[in-house]
Amino acid sequence: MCSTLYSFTAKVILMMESTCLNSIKDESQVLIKKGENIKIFRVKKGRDIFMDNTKFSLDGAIGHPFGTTFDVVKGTLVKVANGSNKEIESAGKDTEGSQLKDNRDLYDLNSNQKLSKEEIERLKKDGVSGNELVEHLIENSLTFQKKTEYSKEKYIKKKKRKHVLQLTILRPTTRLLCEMYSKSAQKICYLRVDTLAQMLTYGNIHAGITVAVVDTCQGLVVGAVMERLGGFGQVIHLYHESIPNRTAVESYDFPVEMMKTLYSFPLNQVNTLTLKKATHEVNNECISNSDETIKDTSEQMDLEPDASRNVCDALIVDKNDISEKRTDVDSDANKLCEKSVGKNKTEGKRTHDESERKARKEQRAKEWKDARDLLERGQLDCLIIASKLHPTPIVRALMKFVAPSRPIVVYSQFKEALMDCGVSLREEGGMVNYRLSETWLREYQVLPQRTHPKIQMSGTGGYLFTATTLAK
Amino acid sequence: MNFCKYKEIIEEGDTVILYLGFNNMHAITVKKGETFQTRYGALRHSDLIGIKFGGKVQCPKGYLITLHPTPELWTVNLPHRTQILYTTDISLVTMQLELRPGSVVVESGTGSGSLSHAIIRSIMPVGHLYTFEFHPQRAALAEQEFQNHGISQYVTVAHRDVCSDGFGIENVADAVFLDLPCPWLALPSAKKALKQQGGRLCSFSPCIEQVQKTCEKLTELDFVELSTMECLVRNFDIRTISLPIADLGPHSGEAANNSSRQKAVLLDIGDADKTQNTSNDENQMKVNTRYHQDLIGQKNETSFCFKSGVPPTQMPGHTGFLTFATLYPQ
Repeated sequence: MCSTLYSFTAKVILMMESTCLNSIKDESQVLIKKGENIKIFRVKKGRDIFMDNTKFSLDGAIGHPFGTTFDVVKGTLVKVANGSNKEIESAGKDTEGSQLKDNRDLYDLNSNQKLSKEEIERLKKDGVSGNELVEHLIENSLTFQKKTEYSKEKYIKKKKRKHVLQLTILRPTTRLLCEMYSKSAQKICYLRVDTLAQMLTYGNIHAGITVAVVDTCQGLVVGAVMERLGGFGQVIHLYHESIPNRTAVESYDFPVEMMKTLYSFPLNQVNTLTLKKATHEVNNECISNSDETIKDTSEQMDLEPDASRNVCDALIVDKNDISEKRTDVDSDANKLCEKSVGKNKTEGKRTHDESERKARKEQRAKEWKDARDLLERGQLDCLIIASKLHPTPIVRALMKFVAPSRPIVVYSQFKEALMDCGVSLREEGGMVNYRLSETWLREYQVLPQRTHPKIQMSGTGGYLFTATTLAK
Repeated sequence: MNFCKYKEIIEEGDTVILYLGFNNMHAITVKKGETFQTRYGALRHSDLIGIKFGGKVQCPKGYLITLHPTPELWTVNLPHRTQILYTTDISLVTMQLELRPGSVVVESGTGSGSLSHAIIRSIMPVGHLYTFEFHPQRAALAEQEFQNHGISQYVTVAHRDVCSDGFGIENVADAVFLDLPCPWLALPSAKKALKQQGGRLCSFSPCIEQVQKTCEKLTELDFVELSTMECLVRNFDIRTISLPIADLGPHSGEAANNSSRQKAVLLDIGDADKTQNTSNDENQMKVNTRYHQDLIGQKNETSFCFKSGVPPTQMPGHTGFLTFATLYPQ
């Protein structure tokens, strides 16, 4: 890659980093973290969201930097004053010598709390803040003062979790999206954050390379790879349904420039791919053919911004409204559709649907052609497979398109699938440095006098098979 | 060469990973006139020049394979000057610190440069690594290595004791990584080194007491989202295992091949094939035969054969606890 291209893209990226990505904007994707609960939402002025049985608007967050903590007050977000959380925690500190306390005389009874459920509800209705309510609960607890200091801390933490509606708004990143998806792990084939971390590292994912990803994890792996490419290089998403499912990629809110590095190709056309003998042959074909599509493709190989894939700023705003339920393919088609609709206004509604379908078909065919050209060069720098499909036939079909001395990374929820893959590849030859592994992850609670591994633990993060290709 | 950018053909001055077999690799820097002794005989460096990365090189008594250097291959082949971080921990650190092209990272201590190479790979070409090492010789060696590997434009090595003198830089970093005996001493300066918009921090410590002190200090300095974890890797060896069938007395062989037992095997394996569990005996027989030939396992009179991913008797154990934290805009 030439240095002038690096400096151009670098300027784009750095500009975006400094101005766009630090503050919460209207239409941006945000992760809302409330206690253990973390969910993705798109900020929309004037529109309420539902989280934890509470309805509120995100308008109050707009303009604040990511990482800000808010209270939910009467359906709106109000920034939490610094240090207000520390006041309630001091209620747990013991004033007298309390080292000798224990719970031998404490009985777990509902009557320990003098405030009734109705009284608590009334206080809430009267507009008492979460922190104040917790103070009331402490005052009216018969057993609180008899608890040990640590027990008091735990009690306060528990009450706060229940009554203090506080949340933090975070910028979507791979590690946080993994946390979110871990609550519904079946969507991502039970891939765990440390396994995904290993995949990206053993795949040597870095700026400027070409990666092919077979992903049925809602595009989480594709998104993670794109995050690590940072807009330099290309990602080809190979998908097995009729439309690529990439909900996770939407969550990252990648700028348009970065989305241009994402290509799609259907798995059911992999067997039609043929390896082009040498790079110069491909370029010759491109130059001799006067078809505009192929010219655009060869420009893409040089990584110049492709005029035909450009989306004007006016359409980006609309895209966010339309594309929420759709994938990139369809949203791009919609942009084309909007252009063609403008032209066909006078021709009536009958032809509108036809032209919409035609435009979408044409757009898809073009995207497939671009991806095909990229794959057939046989210069992939990494092949990653993370899907519920049996990996062996997929690896065997795609490995010829990977350059020599490059990693192949295969994830599976099941060890046996990777064993089959490993044995099959060993038979076929052409690879070295095979490794079948799993990682074990354990979290710790670290508190003075109370440090121990956490009670809850992940049972599995799946398995990984890695190997390095050889020259043919 | 640029260690962190792929190239096709080996040239003089390149770092090449020579692969001789499983767990048998060596990193060399190609220099005309030099020779590398292997168990297959002598390898002349000049024989490597012009070869494709990933290609074979012939030696008197056998051949070996040339691989393109990557930070992962470097980690397992680099000269140790200190205890190093291995890829399992490195991967998790890269993920949890949210490293990407453009990230600015502060690291101390540099040590043998294992993590440094991985960080540089993840943040280039528009990011930067500031790495601090208090041992003068190690700092100099690291600087030399980055230069030899063509990545010195992405890294600044400083000979400095960050615990007593701080990092000396403010408001530059997206992420800070500490691998120090007393990381809590460097935390106030680490906080200043992070950008005003905030950032991520990681401290790697082998001992739980160090972790406790670090967490206490992090909380005092208003870091949030504290998370301490450890990650261990377990490799499996794919082998064919043959378990002898016991002699249980008369009719032992029948017990092993009894169709009702095979039915049980069918049910275990064939969850996805519910449609084939018909009452049709002929169908059953056909399916039984197929499972009998399955890649995973097969039986005859004397043994049960199967492919297994066998865990090793010893595995890499504890390296250190990884503590991550976030600093939000103040």
